[in-house]
Amino acid sequence: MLKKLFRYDFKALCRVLVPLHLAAVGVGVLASLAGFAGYSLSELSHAFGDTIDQLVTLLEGLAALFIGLSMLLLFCATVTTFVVVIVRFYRNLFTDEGYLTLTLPVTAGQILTAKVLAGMLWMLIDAVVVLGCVGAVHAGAEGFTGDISLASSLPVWLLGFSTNGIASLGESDITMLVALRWWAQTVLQMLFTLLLAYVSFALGASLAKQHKVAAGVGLFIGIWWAYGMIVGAIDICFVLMASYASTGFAADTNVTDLVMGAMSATSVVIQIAAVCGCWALCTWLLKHRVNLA
Amino acid sequence: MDQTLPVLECTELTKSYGPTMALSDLSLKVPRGRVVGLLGPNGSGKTTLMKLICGLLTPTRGQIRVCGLAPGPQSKAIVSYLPERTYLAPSMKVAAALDYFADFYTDFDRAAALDMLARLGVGTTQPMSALSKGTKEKVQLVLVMARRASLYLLDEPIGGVDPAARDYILDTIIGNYHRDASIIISTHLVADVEHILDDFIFLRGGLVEKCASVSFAQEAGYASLDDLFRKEFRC
Repeated sequence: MLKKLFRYDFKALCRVLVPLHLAAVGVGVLASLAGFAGYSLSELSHAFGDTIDQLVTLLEGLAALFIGLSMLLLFCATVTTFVVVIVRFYRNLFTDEGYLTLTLPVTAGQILTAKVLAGMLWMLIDAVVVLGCVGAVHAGAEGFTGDISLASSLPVWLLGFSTNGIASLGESDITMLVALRWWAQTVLQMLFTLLLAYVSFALGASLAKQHKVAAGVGLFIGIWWAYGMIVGAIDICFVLMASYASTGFAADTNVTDLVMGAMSATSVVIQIAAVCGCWALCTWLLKHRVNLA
Repeated sequence: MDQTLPVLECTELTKSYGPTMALSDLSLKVPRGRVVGLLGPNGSGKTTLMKLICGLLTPTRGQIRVCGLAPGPQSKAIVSYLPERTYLAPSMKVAAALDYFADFYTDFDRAAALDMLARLGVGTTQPMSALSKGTKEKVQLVLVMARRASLYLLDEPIGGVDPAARDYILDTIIGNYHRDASIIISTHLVADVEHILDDFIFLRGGLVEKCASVSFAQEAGYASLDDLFRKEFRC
């Protein structure tokens, strides 16, 4: 049954997200070409001198504008993917469609698992497509400066997607282990974001008498903020400990590294606990608290 | 499955929404092969009872057994529920809805569904959004009645359709259920359904006021069940 639920959920998401991502790839390719065209135009300018200088400047400006807009559109594709996944979850369970979904001979856990898997798969597809496009656009934009170095830019963009990854962009050697860690943390972060959104909208639907969607959005922002504050406070404690270790009596870089490692591990443990909590709460809400109009 | 067990058994069933009591200590049994009218004015708890039986709501107190099973995936597999609302997505084609039911319900009879749809003149390539409100309701009824379930729960199946369509719906209901199953029809259009009912349950304010065979109305000196209903629930 889980397989069937997943298939229907994934197919429903595909109807909207496949055209969206094809369009995103199109935008990425065009922006990349615009970048290379801008580079070629400057070569043209060198060849013909000042006669077409103004035209070249104008076209270069347009190419730069298109690249900027395409980056914005790619960002919008990521946001839209997340919104579409959440809309599917809400509409399928908390509107009239819920009469069908929630009377299927399946458990609440199976319904949630199918929706998490379908949502996660699409978020990962989106990450790969958008980051690939961003990498291509980046390479194209570098054409303006004549410094096309895909090897140095694209993999870093792809690997450095996670928060920790971006923080570690300065690392000189990106080992396979580091790359795996970045992706694992990215997947965990995505899972947490998705489940937090699911649980927020499920709570909003069960607690609010009216404006259930607005309640869901409010809860998502509120819980996200509260979670960020708690994790941030714990991180600050670790930073203070690391600072004490590096300047105190027993100044030792090993101790500092150990404290920072503990901070990273604690963040992961908290996030895993939050994922489990969201999962359990969402299943309970689906089982006991849904009251369709 | 034990054939001697009643299709539905509710014991001291209570459901409250905060301070509002929707159902209060309701106890009833529905044996196999009965068509039962769940009758009562608006807000009497008919829809709440149906939602509890099909597992859409959790009781505050008391218990429900469908063929001896507590509400859950197993009971949902033998209960066919038609809600008041249109639950098929507007983009879903009729053929896709048939596939969906065939995928999830092992008791779904696709041939019977196709036959009913053909008689209705509904093409399977049409999306739900292209159908009129009445036709959407009929398609949903076809899907629900094409299952070989043990218990059919029909919430206001003739509420929003014209009198001619009501006849089609009632004919479809009676023509497609097996005699070892039971049907519970919730409605306040008593005169229209009276002729297909075996038993009736009067609900008022979440309480069972009367539960008897349809012949009770005439035995008690009323012209019909509709007459009894009107006198019982006169405002």
